[in-house]
Amino acid sequence: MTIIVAAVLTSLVSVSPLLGLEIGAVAPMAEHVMLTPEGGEASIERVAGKRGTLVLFICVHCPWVQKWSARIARIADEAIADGVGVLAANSNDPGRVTQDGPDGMQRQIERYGFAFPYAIDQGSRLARAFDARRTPEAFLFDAAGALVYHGTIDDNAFDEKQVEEHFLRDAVRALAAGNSIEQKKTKALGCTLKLYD
Amino acid sequence: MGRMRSQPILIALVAFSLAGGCTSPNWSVWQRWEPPAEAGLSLHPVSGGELLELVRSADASAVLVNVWATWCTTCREEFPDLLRLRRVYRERGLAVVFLSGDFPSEEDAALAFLHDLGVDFPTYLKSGKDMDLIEALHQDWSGGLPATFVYDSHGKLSEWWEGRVKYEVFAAAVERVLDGAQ
Repeated sequence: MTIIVAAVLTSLVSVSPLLGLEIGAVAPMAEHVMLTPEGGEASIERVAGKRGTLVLFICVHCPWVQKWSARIARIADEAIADGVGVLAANSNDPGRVTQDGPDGMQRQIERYGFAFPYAIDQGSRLARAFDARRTPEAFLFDAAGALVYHGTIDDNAFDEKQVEEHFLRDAVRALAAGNSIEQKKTKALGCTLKLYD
Repeated sequence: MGRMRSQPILIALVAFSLAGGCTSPNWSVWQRWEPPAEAGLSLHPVSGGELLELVRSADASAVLVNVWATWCTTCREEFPDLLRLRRVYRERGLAVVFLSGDFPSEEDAALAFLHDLGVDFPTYLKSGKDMDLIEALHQDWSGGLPATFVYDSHGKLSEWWEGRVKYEVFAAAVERVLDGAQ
């Protein structure tokens, strides 16, 4: 019911409210088990690190994700090494975007060397619970499970050499070091999620 | 600021420069909603703040801003509806502004797409930081494309959407603004 109301609001109301998770919110559906393209299982609960957990909504086809994928892989490697668990989810319906099917995900994993579980969010259940809107979109939770960062990767998808603000990397580093995160919310252009009906 | 990618515009700019204008075009030249026919299809870099200035200074009863990109399937699917909207409501005072969120390397692809769809008027290309553009247009916009914003004649936001929207929804929103402007 909540999802239906939210969808109606988004499409009809003059100015849509921001429905995403607020800073401090607990990760929804942490116990929800999803399949990976390799046939494994993954959930937020299972990947949770002793210092926190990073949940990423990504997909295969989105050029913004493609531009950021190598950086995402590096940030994830560093996060995992520092005790922050990482889970990525693809919530797009491959019936709407063929590239976003399991085969495409597997190629993406291999191409960029994703060393974290990349789950198929069948039915877009996790995305709806998070009210994720676009790819890529990052949610970083602290060790207590509270959201401490929500947003994008950095401030220049197109050219890594011109990045001035490493939003996600700095947030992960601050969390791992036990410091407060300066920019808790950031945004960038990206692809709207192509959710299952 | 006024970097152009179309031949007619390039010629116009050279003429403007030779006529005593500055080497880079005066922004006001590109501020027209109904530019001369010879202006034709073009892409002008614009930041979020500059875009809002354009909307506020438009001599139009309603302004629709659509943020799109060539790689965005739903944007491409929606585009013909927006061109139809412009055709149907142009005489009643609707100005349609297309802002491409494409990467700089995709400018040619953006122009090719616009050309294929018969766009024969100036359009815009995102310049500057994404977050500045997003916050300028609406604080609740996540940045997902497409995104469309309808403003009244005073530049006040009336309605906006993130994601693809049907023609009828756009038309109803535009009509509400146009009716209110009468």
